[in-house]
Amino acid sequence: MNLEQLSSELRRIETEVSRVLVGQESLVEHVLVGLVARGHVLIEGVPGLGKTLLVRALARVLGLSFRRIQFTPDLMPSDITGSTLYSQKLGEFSFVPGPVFTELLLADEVNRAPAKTQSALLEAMQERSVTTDGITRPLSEPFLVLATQNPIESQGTYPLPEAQLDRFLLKLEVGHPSQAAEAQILLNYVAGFDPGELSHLSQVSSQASVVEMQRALGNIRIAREIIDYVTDIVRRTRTHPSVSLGASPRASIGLLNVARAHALWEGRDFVIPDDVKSYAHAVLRHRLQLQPDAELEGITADHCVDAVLRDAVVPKTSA
Amino acid sequence: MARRKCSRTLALFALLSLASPARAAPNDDPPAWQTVPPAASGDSVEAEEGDEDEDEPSDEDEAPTNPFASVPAEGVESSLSRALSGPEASFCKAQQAAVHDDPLLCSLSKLSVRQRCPGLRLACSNKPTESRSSWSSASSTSLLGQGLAAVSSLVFWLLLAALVIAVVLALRSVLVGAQFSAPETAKRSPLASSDAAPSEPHVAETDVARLWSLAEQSALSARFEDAVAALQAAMIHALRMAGKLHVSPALTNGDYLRALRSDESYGAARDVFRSVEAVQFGGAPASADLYRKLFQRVQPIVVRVLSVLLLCAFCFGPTACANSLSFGPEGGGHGLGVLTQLLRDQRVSVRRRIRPLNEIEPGVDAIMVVGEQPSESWTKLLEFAAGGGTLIVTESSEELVKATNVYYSSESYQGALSLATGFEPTQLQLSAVARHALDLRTSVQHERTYALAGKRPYVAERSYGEGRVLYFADDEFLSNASLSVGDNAFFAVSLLSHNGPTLELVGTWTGGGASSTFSSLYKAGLGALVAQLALLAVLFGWHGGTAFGLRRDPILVRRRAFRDHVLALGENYRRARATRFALATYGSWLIERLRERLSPQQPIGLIELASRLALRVGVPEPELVLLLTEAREAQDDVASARPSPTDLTTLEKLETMTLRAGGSK
Repeated sequence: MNLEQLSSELRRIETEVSRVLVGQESLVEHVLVGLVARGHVLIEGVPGLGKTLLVRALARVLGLSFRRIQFTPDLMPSDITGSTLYSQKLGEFSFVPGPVFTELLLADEVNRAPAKTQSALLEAMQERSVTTDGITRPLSEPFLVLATQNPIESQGTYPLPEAQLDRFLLKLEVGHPSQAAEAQILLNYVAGFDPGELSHLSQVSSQASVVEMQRALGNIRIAREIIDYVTDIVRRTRTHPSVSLGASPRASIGLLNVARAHALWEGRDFVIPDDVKSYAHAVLRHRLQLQPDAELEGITADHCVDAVLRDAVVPKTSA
Repeated sequence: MARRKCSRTLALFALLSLASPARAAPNDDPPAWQTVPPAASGDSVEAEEGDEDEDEPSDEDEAPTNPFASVPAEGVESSLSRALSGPEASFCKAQQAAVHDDPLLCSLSKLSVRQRCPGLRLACSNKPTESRSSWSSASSTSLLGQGLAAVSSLVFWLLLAALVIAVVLALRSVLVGAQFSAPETAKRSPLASSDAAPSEPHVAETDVARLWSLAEQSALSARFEDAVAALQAAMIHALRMAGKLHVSPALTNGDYLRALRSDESYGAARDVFRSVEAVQFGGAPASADLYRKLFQRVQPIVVRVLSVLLLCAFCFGPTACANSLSFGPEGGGHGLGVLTQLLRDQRVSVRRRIRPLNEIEPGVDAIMVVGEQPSESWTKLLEFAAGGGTLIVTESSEELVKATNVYYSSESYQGALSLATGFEPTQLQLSAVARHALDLRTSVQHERTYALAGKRPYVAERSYGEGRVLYFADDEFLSNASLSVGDNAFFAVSLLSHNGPTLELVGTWTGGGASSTFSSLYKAGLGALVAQLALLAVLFGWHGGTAFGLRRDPILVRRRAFRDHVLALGENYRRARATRFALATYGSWLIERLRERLSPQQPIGLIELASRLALRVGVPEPELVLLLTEAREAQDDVASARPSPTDLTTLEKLETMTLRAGGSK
């Protein structure tokens, strides 16, 4: 498939998912871009906005396997990765894969589990493999972790450590739908829509297509000026006075990949500054550690990214 | 009465024909001071007996200088030729000299002396029918002018209304934009102070016309990549000038498109951006076809903006660039433009005095009064003359008469003027149509008469204090038409140019300048309009309460209070869930303070400390032992133990006990 066909397939996926997830087109787009960029997505939003529905609908439309893990304080790492059990029938130890052995993994309320359990996902997310009992087992392709967390509850939660956060390519903040979208949700409900039943959704893509999209990123052209723009943005996060710890080189790579994926989404075979700028917040916001003073002032990471983007000169600008 | 007037006119003509040698001089003769031998002096007219003393230099010890010998005659003649041939000297042109209804000018044109303005005579010699036809054409011209004036007035008010509407729309867009972006700005404002990282200098062309030209030049040079980039830039800046875009180096094409989403130019802009981005970032070739395609999309946008600019320039340009007004109203027959030009050519700085006469600057050498002046002005002028300056007057006033005892009599005269005795061998052909004559009643020292009209003094000079007053019997002698006749120009320039390098003209315009901005507005008749605008602004501010422009918090650079640091530290502890660590550090510090307070001489253990503390605060000893032990154990297992909500409770209790025991100091 050429770029235009891949782009139109992505649009079809978005359209199909939006049939059940009303008013969250931007969220769907971002998740799909993250999937194409071979990244993982952390979704932050209050309950009831359709995060789980998004992942289920996405799995259905993409034709990918889907598992869900509800993170709880007593969740153990082996509950994620799997464990080796002795089979009396076979008379030997055999590995029972955990839910991480899937293509779409929903880590629901990921901050409910302690850091030890959260860390069980580290290798899976970065290396795309799981090591248990000294044996490394690769995960399937594609592999996308969609983690969710609730921004308002802090009691009994374990904030994700920086190393874990850095593994997520995008952090998306889900807002409430508009009034029209919410009215459409109610109309769908009145018409008999059942969030648990998604059989009416069509599968418009496949595992092979998703992998092809991910490989097509290599054909997206990146001008030198774009690379300079990306590095300029990331470098400015490190020198920003309100930021104590700026974005890492992994963030630069992530921003570049996301820009390429967005170019593919738009059907272009080259990256433009808009691709970078439009995804800078999603890529950088969870990678910035703010100064205590800035937090006292009510400054958020998004404000810092805004300031950085206001200062960074767009390549080949006409201004 | 009419008969007497007629007879007087005839007598004047007779006197002119008898007395004036210039009557026989051909019109195109060279100036008399060039052709007449120096010895010839028989043309000067003797003054009346009673005035004889006045004509002679009164200071016999001091030989009077001849002012007519110090000015180069050729220079004045060439300057006069230039001034009269210039487009500003409209009275000298037959087509423009509508002077048949001006008896003074026509009388001048009929003088039998050298005339340098044939148009003036031609215009005065038109027949009445022609005059009537001229009048009717002038009338139609006047009607046309009135119509044009009405149209101009209408256009002016329409443009003013459009300007006001544009300002209101601009304010509205700014304020609406401010409303939408105010929360975001307010949140971001603390960051504004933190933008310490210097941005790299970025310079780009922003002029639409130059960008357009650059695009065309690049296309002609087959540099189509530069050409399409310049086209895109021209479009962006045209939209900026139209108020549709805010342009910044940090904004992308997508930002611009989002700003244009509801604008008619959105489609064209999107196509242009896509095409140019493909060239700039996608490696697509820029061809002539692409340039033509983009040119067709960009052209309507740019041309629209440039048309508006050209219209503005067309409408407001004449007001801003009206060079011809410099000579302007002084170009008529009665104006002083020629005299001004001649004196400037003689390196005399001639300027109109706009400032009031309250204080005359020391650099002013001479002042010429043109027209009526209020009495207080005459007082100042006479003070100026008494202080050593030269005052040139062409009209009488009560103050002048009282001070100098020189009267202006109403004796009209038309014909040749004669130089007074004492200026031989100078011979000049002077002529005038005068309405007044000088009456020098009492003789004073340093009195001198330069020219005579018949037997009456026409140009004279008297000392006044340390200065002097130069009298001209009629202001028309210095007018443009008069100076074009005979040697009047040389005579006037000779008299006026040796008073000093600076001559100021005082007239009705003097004191008309504004001393302040408010005075200027008042004199321009804009006071009511400005007051209304100010009132509107006040009402608007009162109603909306919105600042003009985006509001930003001031940059605060202040030293933070210790409390803020403690709060920030506590916030960090809270985020890190470091309750155990807080108990370990703060608890151990409190235990040490308790030890210092309860046993300052020797160190004691926790049990003894609990015992003494129990006596002090009245809390059971076992409870205090448990409390102190928990705080102490926290120091040991701070790295291994999990944080617990009871840590903060323990810490709080320990702090309470410390305070009840007397505090930590």
